[in-house]
Amino acid sequence: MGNYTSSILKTSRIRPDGIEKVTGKLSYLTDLQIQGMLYGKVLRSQYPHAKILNISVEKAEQLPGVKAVITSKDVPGLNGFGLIFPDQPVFCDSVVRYVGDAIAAVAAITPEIAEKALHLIEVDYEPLPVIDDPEKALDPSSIPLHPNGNLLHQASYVNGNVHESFPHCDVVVEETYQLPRQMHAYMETEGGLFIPEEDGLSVYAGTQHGYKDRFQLSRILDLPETEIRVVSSPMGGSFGGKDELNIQPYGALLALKTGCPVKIHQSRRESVCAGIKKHPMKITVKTGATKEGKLLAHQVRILADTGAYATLGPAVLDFAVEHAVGPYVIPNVETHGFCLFTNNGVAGEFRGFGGNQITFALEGQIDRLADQLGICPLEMRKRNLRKPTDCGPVGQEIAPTNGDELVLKEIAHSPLLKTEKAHKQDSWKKVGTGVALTMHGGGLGFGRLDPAGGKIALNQDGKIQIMFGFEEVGQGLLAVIETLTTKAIGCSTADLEIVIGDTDKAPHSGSSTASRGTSMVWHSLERLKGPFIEKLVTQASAISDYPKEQLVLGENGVWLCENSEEKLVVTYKQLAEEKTVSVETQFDFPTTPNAIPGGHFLYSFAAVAVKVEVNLVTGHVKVIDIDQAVAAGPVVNPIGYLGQIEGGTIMALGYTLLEEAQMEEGRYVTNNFDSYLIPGIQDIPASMHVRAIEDLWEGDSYGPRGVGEIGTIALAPAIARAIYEATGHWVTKLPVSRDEILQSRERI
Amino acid sequence: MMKKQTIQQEHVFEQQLINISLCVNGQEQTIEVEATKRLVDILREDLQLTGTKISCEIGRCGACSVMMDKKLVNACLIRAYQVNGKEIMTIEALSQNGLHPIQNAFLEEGGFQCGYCTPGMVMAVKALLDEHPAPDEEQILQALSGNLCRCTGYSGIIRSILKMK
Amino acid sequence: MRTLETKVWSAKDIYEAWEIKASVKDSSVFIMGGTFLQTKWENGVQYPDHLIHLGEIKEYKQIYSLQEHQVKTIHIGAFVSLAECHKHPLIQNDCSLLADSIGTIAAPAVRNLGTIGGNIANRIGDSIPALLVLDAEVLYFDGNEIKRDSLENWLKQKEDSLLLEIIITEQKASVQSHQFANKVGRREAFTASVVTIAGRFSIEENGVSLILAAGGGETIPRRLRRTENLVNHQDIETIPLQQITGELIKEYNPIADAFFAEDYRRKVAANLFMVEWEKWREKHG
Repeated sequence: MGNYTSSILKTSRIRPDGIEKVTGKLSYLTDLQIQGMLYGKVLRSQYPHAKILNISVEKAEQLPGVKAVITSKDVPGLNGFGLIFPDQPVFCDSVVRYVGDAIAAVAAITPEIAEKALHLIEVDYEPLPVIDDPEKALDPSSIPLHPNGNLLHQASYVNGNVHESFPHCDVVVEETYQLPRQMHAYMETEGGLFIPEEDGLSVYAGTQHGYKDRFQLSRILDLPETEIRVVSSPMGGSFGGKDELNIQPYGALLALKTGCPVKIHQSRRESVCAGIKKHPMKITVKTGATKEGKLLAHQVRILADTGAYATLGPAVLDFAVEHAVGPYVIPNVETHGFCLFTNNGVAGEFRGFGGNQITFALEGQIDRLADQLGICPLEMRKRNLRKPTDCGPVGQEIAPTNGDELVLKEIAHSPLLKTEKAHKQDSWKKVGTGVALTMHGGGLGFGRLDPAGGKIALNQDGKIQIMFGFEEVGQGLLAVIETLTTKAIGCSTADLEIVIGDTDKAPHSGSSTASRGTSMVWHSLERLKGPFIEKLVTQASAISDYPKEQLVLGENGVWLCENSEEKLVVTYKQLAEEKTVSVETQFDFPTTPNAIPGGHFLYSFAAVAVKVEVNLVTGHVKVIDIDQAVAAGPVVNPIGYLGQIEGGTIMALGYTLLEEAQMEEGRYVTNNFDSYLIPGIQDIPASMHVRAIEDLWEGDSYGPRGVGEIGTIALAPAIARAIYEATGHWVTKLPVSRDEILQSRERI
Repeated sequence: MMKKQTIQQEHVFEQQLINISLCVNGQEQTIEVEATKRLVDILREDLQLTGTKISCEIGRCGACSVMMDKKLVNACLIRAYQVNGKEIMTIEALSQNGLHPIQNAFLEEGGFQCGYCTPGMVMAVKALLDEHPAPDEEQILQALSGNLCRCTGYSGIIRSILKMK
Repeated sequence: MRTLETKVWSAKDIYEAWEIKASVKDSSVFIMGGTFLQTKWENGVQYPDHLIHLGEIKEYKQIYSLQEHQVKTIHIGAFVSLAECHKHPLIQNDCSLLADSIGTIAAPAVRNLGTIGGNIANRIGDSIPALLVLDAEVLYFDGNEIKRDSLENWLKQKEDSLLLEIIITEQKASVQSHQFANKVGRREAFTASVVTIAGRFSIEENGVSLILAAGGGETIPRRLRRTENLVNHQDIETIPLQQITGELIKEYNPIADAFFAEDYRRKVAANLFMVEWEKWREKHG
């Protein structure tokens, strides 16, 4: 056991936030307490779909200790939020569309009083029919949940003609794949502290994009953005789940209404009920190939359950449509995606962003075709792989890359694929192996506002400050910034002060999402380092009289570097006493030049090999070994890279075998960690290996890509293939049903 | 019958305050709290020890793991009336004289990412090593089975423990 | 959930505990570790007005053995923590089936708080099937007197009672016996049971003997007497195995939840039985 290895050279530095984390000294935003603060609580809907006939808050207001009870009447600005369309009411007053809809909020002197006050708020509902299935939502006779109906978004990609080419295929496979509603299950639930200030409001609450929160809050509060400060870091995990607003509007409104600091920290139950989830998708695919294993036609229909409100639903669907053919060349493609409103929990951003769902379907098709044609699954993939300079999956221009070819070649060497498959001890345990491949776009894609940037400064104390608007959600961004900055500038860790996640102190960098953080820090430094070094050495040259060409930045200050002589010429502190310096950069994440909404330009790749053991007594599937190859450019911080891949992989293991935020008629069945099970330490395989491929295509100037998502995509289809090898049963629905496995054995 | 009346009278008071004495990280504390206030809230709010985290509140994640009389417990499952006279050790005690070897191992092997489960996880590892200084596979897996981590996939945590062997 | 309004009573002995319970009008509950109750309350079950804490009661906190009528009996106080129970030499050596079952309950930190009495009193605890196979008895207080009865009977009782002790009589040594307690959860560990099945095969003078109990999830564990009867006194070579598993599937009456249907649970119980049967046969030719 404990065979968790990688090809990555371990020269890792200790994370800048490490000591505070292992000692418990780090104050998360939900740990903050301040004298005189009140406790906020939000009243959520009792029904997944209902008319609100009346709201009466008098009794709650009269409860001693209650300082404010607010409803939609207390929203000074826009009563709505949402990253793309602000269609989610801050407070509902006429209709509720899911169980997490907020109706009122309370601030009281203790959490218990706030809780009690919620029970005293009287809401009269008239229940409405519940749309708990996207198929139902599509039905024209269904009640429209929003003014424009139940179809939030439709996206398509058509190339060639699938209908004409299916008859030319030697083998055609048709299947429907069903993917579950996964919960992010970050350990820290949503919360924070809201402090009214003389000139506005300070918000200390976790999010993946502080500036976006500031913008959304400004609309709600009718307050200029400059009067709101958002401190958004650190966080106890997010995985996409805290990018959209959650409790911020309530904390902010209550703080402004009472004039007192207000703390909100959702219970797990509240978090499950109100928080966003991964999109459940039903994907129907028909794929045809020649007997030589050449893919000819691929027809895809995606039905995504986006729940009650839009949030990033349209973008997730676009992503799924884009990645429908992955890294393969298929001459005839027709993909239609539909994103439907329902009364289920809201679905939105989730690590993988639609890639997990569509890749499960795509790789499932490849495996089924390979099986029917008697071609080795690895060979089948190789025969259809794109060439390094080929277009992207929706015919768009992308940065040339052979990452797919490299990861596939690498995983073919995996020892786990060559091991003995027959299980010697127990006749009721069957072993199987599987492989899957994926390609994953980084950044938000064409047509989306995707600005990035950063700032570097020598401040009055002689510290080199590097500033980004990003957040540390746990992904290891601080270590990435420290590593890249010290390398780019030449200074030491001790000279550096990292500032992130604070709209008063850090510049716009865009969202900490879409595997873009590492990439954008690198791009920023590429732009910042030249001018910054130039300014400092010029200044040092003026002081010291050495020619600036002989000066470099180093530990503690500017050094003379001439022939073999090295000496400190002037310290940063001395330089700062003369003059402080700052350089800022703003740019956009690189996208494809082709006008395809959401079309990506930079991709990363992963291939996974997995070995499973299926217990035929219980139907239980145990993953016993995982080997994977990742191509995402140079590794910046080895321990962080490995952690992202390993952690993402186990999150994917949960997605495949355990996790589903089940709903019955619009209500969650799984309300906490006793029923929503994420993998525990005994669920992980005894052995995992990560191979990092750092090579980029010749001339690639885009540097390291982020690895936040790539480790979460390919495991599910690889496990499905391994189960097939072990049992002869093709899994089409996640999480894998043990019952189905037992039933399939009965049929044999 | 007399008792019944007393009860009814007492029940008029909404909250029942009790005095408890407990030793937290070597310091004696005497506090007046509500009888059913949870240990996790006493630690975080009354004693400002926020290293102990809140996550599931039903003993199903381990984020609030602390030691009570040298045994690992979930601070969300214990209420004030149960801690009188007890000795509590939280994550804050571990680094009172510099970093604990467990903490160093976590730093070097990537035993954490977001860090929110980490205080509880470190306490669970401490409980493991107190009982089994050189734990085997089974003992590690058993000891940490009550602590959930969503970031690391546990491999970094296991590497950290193996490193200490 | 944070609730501070509840009144907490601490009883110094079981009589006082009972008296308090009888005297309070509003809802009340006896509480020891509180690990199971907390989960229920957080899940929306109404928090009681009164908690009657049993932690101060000095008795029923130990494990000891006695010689009763020339046989050894092991006595486990209801207020002993699951962890203590798990590692106690008497349990490890003489009731390994129980020790193994306790090892699958929740996780170490929870087992340090939760008690064996609590695990049984909630009627669906994971220790129960093993205890049924061990033919455990219980000592309980019904408000009037302390009584002793089989655990099997006690589980069928509807009236309130306070569990005090679990008594296990040492089994006669049997050379060809095989006992098992299997819990199938949704996850490898730290999970509620989907199916728990415990049993003991042995060869007695008059043929095969089987004790079998099953529970899991919300299903109250019980002995599967009809299945046992089909096996008992049969010749090992001619046992109609299919008929037996068929009966097991009929007799085991599991409760479904959102995750697993009755059928699945029945199938798994039967499969587990078969595996154990094979293990036994392999062990003893």
